[in-house]
Amino acid sequence: MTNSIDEFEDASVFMVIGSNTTSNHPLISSRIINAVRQRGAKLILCDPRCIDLAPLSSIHIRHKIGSDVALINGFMNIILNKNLEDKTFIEERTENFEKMAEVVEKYTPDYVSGITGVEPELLVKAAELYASTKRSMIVYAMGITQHIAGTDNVKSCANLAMLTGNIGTPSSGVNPLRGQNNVQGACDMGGLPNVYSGYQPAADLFVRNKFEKLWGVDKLPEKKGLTVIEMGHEIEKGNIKALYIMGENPFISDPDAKHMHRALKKLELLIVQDIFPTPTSEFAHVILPAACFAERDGTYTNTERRVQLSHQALPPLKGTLPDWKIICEISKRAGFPMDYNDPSEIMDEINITTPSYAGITYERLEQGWGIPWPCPSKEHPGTKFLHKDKFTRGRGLFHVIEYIPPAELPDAEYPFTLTTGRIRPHFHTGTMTRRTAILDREAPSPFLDINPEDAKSLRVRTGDKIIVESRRGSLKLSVNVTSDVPKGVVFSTFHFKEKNINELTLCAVDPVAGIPEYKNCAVSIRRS
Amino acid sequence: MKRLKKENLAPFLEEMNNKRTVYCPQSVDEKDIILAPLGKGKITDEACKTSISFKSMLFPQKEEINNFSKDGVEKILDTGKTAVFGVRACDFRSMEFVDAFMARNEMKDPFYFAKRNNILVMTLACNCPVSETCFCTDTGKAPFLEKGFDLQFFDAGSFYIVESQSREGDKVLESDYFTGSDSKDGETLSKIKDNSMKAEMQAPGFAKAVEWLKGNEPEPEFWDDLATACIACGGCSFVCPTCTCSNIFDSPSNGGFMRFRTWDTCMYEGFSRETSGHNPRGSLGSRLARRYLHKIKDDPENYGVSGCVGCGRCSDACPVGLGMIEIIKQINRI
Amino acid sequence: MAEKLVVCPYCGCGCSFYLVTKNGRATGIIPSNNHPVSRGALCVKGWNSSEIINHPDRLDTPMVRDHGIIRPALWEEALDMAANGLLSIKNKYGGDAIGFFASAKVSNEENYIFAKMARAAFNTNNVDHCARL
Repeated sequence: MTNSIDEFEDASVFMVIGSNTTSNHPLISSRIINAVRQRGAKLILCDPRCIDLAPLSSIHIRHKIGSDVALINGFMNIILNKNLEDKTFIEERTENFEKMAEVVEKYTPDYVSGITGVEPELLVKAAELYASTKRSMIVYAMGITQHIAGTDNVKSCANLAMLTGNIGTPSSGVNPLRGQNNVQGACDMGGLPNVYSGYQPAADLFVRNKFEKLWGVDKLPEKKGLTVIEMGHEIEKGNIKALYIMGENPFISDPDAKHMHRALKKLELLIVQDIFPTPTSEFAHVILPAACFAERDGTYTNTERRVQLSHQALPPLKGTLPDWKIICEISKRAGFPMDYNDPSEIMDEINITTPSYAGITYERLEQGWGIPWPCPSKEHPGTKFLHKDKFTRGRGLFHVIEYIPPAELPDAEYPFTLTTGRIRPHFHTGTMTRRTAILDREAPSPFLDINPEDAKSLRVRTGDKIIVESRRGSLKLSVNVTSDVPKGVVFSTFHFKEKNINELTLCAVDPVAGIPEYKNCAVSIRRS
Repeated sequence: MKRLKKENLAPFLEEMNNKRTVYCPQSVDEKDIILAPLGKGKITDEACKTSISFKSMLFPQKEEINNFSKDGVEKILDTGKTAVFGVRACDFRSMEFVDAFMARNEMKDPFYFAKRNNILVMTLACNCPVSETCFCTDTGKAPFLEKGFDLQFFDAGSFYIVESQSREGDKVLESDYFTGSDSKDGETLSKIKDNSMKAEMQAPGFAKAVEWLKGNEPEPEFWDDLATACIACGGCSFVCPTCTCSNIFDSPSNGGFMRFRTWDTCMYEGFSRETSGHNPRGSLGSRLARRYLHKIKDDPENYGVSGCVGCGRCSDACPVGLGMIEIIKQINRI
Repeated sequence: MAEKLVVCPYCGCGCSFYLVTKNGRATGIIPSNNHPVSRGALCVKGWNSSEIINHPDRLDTPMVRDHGIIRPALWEEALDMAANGLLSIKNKYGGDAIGFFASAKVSNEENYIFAKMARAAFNTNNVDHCARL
């Protein structure tokens, strides 16, 4: 997030796009709900589905799945035509505006309406509302990123924010909501193929030399690393022989599960380190039982970049070890000993190697409520919102972005669009929430949301079984008839391992970020 | 009536801890005040509101109740002696309801009463509201107790004035930490009580709403509107000192299985879902109506005790500003 | 064990709470009234997050695959098998024949040393996690 959660309290307009906030980030959604209900802030909701925030929205745009770039370019077209842009901000803080504006010219309300299926008048209203204040926050989640145009979508959001000067100030910005308690931290710590901790590029010789010295190794790898999805392909091709998976369940969470099944089976060595058995661990050659979240100290970085210390409340379950100890043991045996007595010593090292975490110490974290990075020194209070006086790169770059359609559009054979996500009581692959009695009771079984009109033409009612099929696989699911999904769209979740919806999803990925297009694939539906 | 110097509170509680497991509000890392067994943090000597009331000592969020093994069924009764200090009058009153509920049929809840019969409750009256969401006086009650307690402490500055109303309480007062009371203590006490009754606090108009609800009911749209805010977290029930709903689950354990019960809440969709899948309270609005109306209206009718003690915790724990205070205000606006 | 703040294991909001424990087992949640994100509240998942800690399904012994069959093992054996297996693949095919999945569910410290191990001990940049999923 460029801004912080507290700043939601002073925002005048929220544009929530591609985030079912109430289900997936309930406590952040509560800030939006309160802002709207208690002080009349306005909500522009851009979501094809009728999610829990919908009744609170001033404008609900139900654009076609995957048409976000067209939608946002359309907003920008309207803003420019009505002279609502922030000329000073554009002049002083950004570059490449003209090129962007040139492309946006074509995205007139009528043209955009044709792509998105949204009434031109509604587009105008939304654009005007967003541009009407300097306290407009864009809030997004996987509905923006899980498309082949995911990176374009994010850049479009940034364009829109810069166009109206809604970035680098309080209660504005572009605010992605991170879906796991330490997904931000895993990225920050270099759990990515292209960067070391603090986003120091792995391709940069200077960076590698720095880490070679700090870590005491002769030569760190030069070759570009692979993403999770790419690794899956390389396993199938026989180029990757071993996987070491810590606390993940790719068999359920990754797209095109049949492909993942073949890949996992092909591995010469699969090490799975987890707290519960998972469908992934069934393929493992070695299973390492780990301590869970409450059984060790460690820091976690939330979606607003706040690094917080989570304390050990119980000893590790008998027979388990904390992840950090297991990693040290493996590394030692592999000839690279890492000796830490406790996690705080690892943080001491992170302080040295990672500029944005340089001032974040256990001592400071013990005293307060966490520190948002960047925090370059022990005296630095942390950074509430980013890009205050200048962008990280200097001037904010307007990106020229054209709409591209999703990878797999519905056709005569597969006439429906399947989109996936999470529901409130469950989390990710359900490894934890489905083992929680009350949560599992709340949502005990898989389902497929379908629009009443579609249900009528298929002659199915809620509870009926249907076969939903894509080019990759088919599943038998119970139908839930609801106008929450638009006609032609069906929705399901990936929480249920007994009906793994990712057997149907598509392995097409965003070329830059490598994110699969979970939000869109073509399926057919027939009565069972 | 006796006195206890505030500086002697900690030693007194520690002495008691030798005989009973003593709980009291403690400040953890100067971050939050939580109710916990002695030794977890710094003892708080002023009246305060912990996010969870002492109900959790008697009816914990999760407790194992039966162990099913090949040797038979074992009933797990926790009869350990406990004590709790710093219980406010509102929290103490909540036990009137919980006791009545747990004893509602002939088989009095054995798991609850095993603990209930072994707890010594030391209440601490509130001189003034301890949070912005306190509204006990609005519900027609005082921030102190008149009857029914073992020991009641009043904050008189550097010391407490302590009243006992039971033999158990009298025994505790025999401890050397307590000293005789001054002749003026009675007068001080009346002053404290008077002032506490006059202290300004939230006044949503509880009595007015109760009265109105005797002959009226809000339209479903009233609740549906509130439901657009509710995120169905269940927090209002979990922090409520009078909420008593639970569910029972079994899980495998040492070749047999363990039966445990956990807090449950009528705010959850699955709570009232029927086997067929039909749910008589399928909408969040209808569940909000159910929860608040039974607190305000049904509980007094069924148990003769109010389901709301005015502690304001549901208002504290609600991330979207609902909770009893807001509900009462809205009902009174109808 | 001290009663200290624990970060919720679910989404990225970063809510925190205290864990109630009894006889070494988790029995409940106490929300943190002053926490800047959660402010005394939690969501349905957070409120019910303690149950998994002592769940009977928890993995509590290392396992290794022996002639195709997975069986319990001692820590030493499992760690040796994991490390030696990775080493022999590195020696035979190079470090890039190994993939490392870090985790959005473990701490910064653990992710840091996991990525460090991948790069420094096995000489590969093939380290990623489910940020995209």
